[in-house]
Amino acid sequence: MKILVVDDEADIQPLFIQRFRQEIKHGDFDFSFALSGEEALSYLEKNHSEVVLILSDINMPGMTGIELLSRIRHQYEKPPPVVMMITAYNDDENRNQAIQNGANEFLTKPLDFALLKEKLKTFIHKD
Amino acid sequence: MKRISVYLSFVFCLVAISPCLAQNDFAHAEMDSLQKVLARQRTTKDSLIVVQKLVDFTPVRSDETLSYPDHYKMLLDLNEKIKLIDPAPYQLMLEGNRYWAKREYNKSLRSFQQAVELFDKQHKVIFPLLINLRILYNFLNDQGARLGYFQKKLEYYLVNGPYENTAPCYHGIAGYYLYKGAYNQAINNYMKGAEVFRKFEPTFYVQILYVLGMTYNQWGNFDKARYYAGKALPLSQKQNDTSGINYGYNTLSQIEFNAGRYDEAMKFADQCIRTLSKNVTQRVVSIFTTKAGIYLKLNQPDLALPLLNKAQRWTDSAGFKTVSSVGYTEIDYDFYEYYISKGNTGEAEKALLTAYKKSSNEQGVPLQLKYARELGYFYQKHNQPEKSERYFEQYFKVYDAQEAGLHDFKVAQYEIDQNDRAQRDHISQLKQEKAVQDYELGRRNALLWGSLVVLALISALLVFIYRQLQINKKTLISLRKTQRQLIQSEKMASLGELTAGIAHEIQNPLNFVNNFAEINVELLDEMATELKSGDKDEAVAIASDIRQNLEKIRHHGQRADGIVKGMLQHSRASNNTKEPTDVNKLADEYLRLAYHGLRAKDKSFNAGLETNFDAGLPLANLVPQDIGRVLLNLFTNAFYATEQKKKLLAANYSPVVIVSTGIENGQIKIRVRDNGTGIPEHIKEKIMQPFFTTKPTGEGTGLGLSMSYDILVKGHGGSIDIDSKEGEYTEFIIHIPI
Repeated sequence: MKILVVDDEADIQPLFIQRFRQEIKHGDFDFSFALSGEEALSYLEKNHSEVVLILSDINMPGMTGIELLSRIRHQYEKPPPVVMMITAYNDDENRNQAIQNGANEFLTKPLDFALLKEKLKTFIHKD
Repeated sequence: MKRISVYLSFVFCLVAISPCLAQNDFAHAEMDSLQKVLARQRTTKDSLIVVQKLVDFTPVRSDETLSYPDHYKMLLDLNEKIKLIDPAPYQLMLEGNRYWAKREYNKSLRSFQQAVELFDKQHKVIFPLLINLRILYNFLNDQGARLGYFQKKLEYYLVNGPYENTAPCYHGIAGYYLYKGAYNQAINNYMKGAEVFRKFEPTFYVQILYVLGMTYNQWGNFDKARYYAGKALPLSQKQNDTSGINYGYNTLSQIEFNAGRYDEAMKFADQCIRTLSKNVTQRVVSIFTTKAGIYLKLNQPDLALPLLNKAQRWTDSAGFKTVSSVGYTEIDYDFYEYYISKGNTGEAEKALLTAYKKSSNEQGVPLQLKYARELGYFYQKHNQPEKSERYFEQYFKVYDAQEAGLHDFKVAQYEIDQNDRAQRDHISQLKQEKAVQDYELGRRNALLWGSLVVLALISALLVFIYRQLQINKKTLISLRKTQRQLIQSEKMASLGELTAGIAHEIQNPLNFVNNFAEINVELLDEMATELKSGDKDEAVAIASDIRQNLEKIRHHGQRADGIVKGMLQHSRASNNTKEPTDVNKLADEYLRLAYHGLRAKDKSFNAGLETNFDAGLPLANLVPQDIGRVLLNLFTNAFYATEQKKKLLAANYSPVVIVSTGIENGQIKIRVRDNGTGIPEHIKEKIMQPFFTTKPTGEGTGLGLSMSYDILVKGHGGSIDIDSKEGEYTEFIIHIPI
């Protein structure tokens, strides 16, 4: 039940681990982290079959979340669903681009972890 | 007007050449036509010009009456209205005329001479006025003063001009010699006068030729006399000059009479009489007397008598003289000859004595000699030896006196030529001196004017500079104010660019702070539960997490704090305080700010960021907010360049901005390189200039790089260099002393 979190903020890792410590403890979720789009693609090359969900930031230096999404959609026949994280200042334009490139869901930063848990559970349940 | 001046010239020439003639006949007719011309003038100015011509070219009449005194008054009255000319010399001429009318010739002469001096200052052609003076000297019979005056004026006009004024001077000098019986010198000067007149006044030139004929006649050289009179007559006929023609016949008649060719003399006398004007003038009397003389020589005394009686009557009424420019009018002598031919000795004696007396009174030496000698012979013939002896004595006395007077003039031609040459040299020298004086004066004037102009220019320049300084001062104050505003604008503009980036940058740490704080609350609850349940190890593990989280909270709190401080520093006016600064951190901070700022503004913007920071970089002593501003500017420009290129190349382009730090020659080196549009060669020189921007209007202040240059070079003693290839890359290289 691998969930890949892509964000250029390194502290997103301890935050997720803390926030989902119970779920991790119970083996409900397994998080992997990438600090850039490039790192995420590299990770997927090896582990894409395990990854059930990708959670990606859009605003990242270098490859953006949108580009990453586009690459995944083009690269894999059955790509994992991608949930995009949108910061406050990213408006409709980013959202539209993400939809066009096949994003499955959106979350707005700052993240509401209770909501995120619900979403993840829904996705996993679907899966 | 040309015609008027010709008429006038003609008029005054006649008056001038025949000083003892009344010119009423001719002059009045021409003056009348001029009066008509004058009457036609409509403007005051035109009238004044005509009257001035009339006055300038009308000499005072020689018959001792004023010639048109009204003209002087009219001239002065017209001039009073429009102030066109200097009235002073004309007032003097009017005054001279009035004295002339009252026969106060000395005063008249003085007024005219003063007028001459004033006219000379105007460099004016005034030969008619000079001719007037000659006539006045004749009236005053002051031949010495006449010679002195005209010699002085001649020298003046030869040196200073106008050249035309020399002619009446020569004429005046010639007249002196003629009176003295120094025919050689008289003829010399007449010829010089003629030469001057020939060039600008043909009528007067012809008149002088007649005078030359008359002078040679008196001197006894009849061939020369005939030559000059004969040369003049066709010219008068060509000029259609009736008065001149008449004068010519009169002259030729007298020449032939003296030469003993009485038939020829009679022919010319008749031609003269046929061409006479109606008015009785000295010339009329002269020709009648000449004709009477011819009859007497031809032994036809009865034909002579009526002519003599007429001549006598006119002379008695008009007071004509025996000696004049028209020759000798020997009425009394002719009566003497008439009475001799008739055997009337008593009347003959009376007539001869009258003739002698008149000639003595008029100081006409040749006639005095002729009559004294004739009286000597007469009394000798009529057995009155005492009287005879007395008149012979008188004859020799006058003769001796004349001879004595002539001694001074008995000069060989060679010496006359020498004197002429000496005079010419003297005049040349005076001319040279005058030229030098004029040059010096001109030079001094030029220098003076030049100095004045330079002084005026300097004054104007000083005033201009002073005003410019005042303006510049105001402009400078205004510029400084504007500059401050612009710098502030630039700061605020870059701050605007940063705002979104800052928001993003603050949002993230705040999220972490909030999240970790929330987690800790949850963890503390969990820890309490574990402690209650006695799971001490789990409680300790949770405590450790809480601690880690608190660490994160502090870290992100500080991060947000740093951003806010940086923002404040950026917007705050620099206090120029240098402090040891971590350049890597500063560059990283501003790179992120610039990046997120642009992202916030343009959602489609993105670029790869590469940082090659030298971990061993020492702290550099610099003003962080100033260098931050420089870096921000360079980063923003780099991103802008890649963005521009992306618009051109779209998908095939991956924009990258690389920031490197390092140490070079003991200085901090920061390189900011982008693979954007590059800088065209022709604007490389300009990009550091204030207000230069390639961005569309309103997007850039054009002050970013200029301010960066100032901060680096002036503020930190550093440098900024550019390496760029158009279409490929741009790299800014900064050096900052540690």
